[in-house]
Amino acid sequence: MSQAATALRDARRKSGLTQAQLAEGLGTSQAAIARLERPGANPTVATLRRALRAAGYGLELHAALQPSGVDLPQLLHHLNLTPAERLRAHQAAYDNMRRLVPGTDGGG
Amino acid sequence: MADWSDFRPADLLGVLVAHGVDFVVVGGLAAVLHGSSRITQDLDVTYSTEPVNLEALGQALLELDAKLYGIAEDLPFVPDARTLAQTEILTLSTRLGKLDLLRSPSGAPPYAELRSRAPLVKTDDFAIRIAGTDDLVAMKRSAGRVKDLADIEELEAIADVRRAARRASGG
Repeated sequence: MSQAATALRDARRKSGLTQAQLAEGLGTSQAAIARLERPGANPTVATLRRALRAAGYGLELHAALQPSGVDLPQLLHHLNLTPAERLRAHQAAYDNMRRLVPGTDGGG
Repeated sequence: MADWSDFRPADLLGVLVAHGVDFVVVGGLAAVLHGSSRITQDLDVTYSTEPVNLEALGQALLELDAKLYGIAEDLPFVPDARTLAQTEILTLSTRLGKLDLLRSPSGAPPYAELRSRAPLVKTDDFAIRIAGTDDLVAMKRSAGRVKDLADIEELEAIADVRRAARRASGG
């Protein structure tokens, strides 16, 4: 549901509605709509469906097989570093890449 | 095309901090500071457009010897507050690497709101604000590039791991 905010905002805008107008249609406040459209908003399916319907849209859900591309052990390793250590690790990786790429004056 | 010219983001950030610039790191380096293992080739920042901040930013750019990226050297670039106030996006090369200044990044909320949600992270030498993972994901979704999909997945995984850690600690 991480795209809920974007889906609702896009639907509302395409319908030419302001947050206040959509709120009026739903019998709620503009602030409540703003919260739903905030990045990371995680409404229930029922709430999202109701809000989209008020904007003239429906909600379709389907499951899709999506193998994760995240290297979890590596991620956990980086999360255990301090921000300063993350910057140093990035610098080392960047400098290594520079050395490998022809045509740069890398090497340091 | 990939640009692997010299890039020292920690030093670059240090110059902005030393000049008292009010900014938030966005883009790839913000992801790195959150824990991403990706490698980025530039520093993206968004900033307050208050006149006093644009003055500070201009001074930092002078110290960084900033020039318009990919533009002939003889094209004058004067990073004063007036120029910065009129610019939406500036792609610069500096003596410490590539720097992108984004007044209002696509998908981001207004600066004050973004900043209010941006965690303060401390390094050995300074403290800086980096956009929160939710805002970074929103920006990447807004950009709509295929190459951002892996970043989005990783940022969401970072947020999941942190949420799980908070639950485990009772926070």
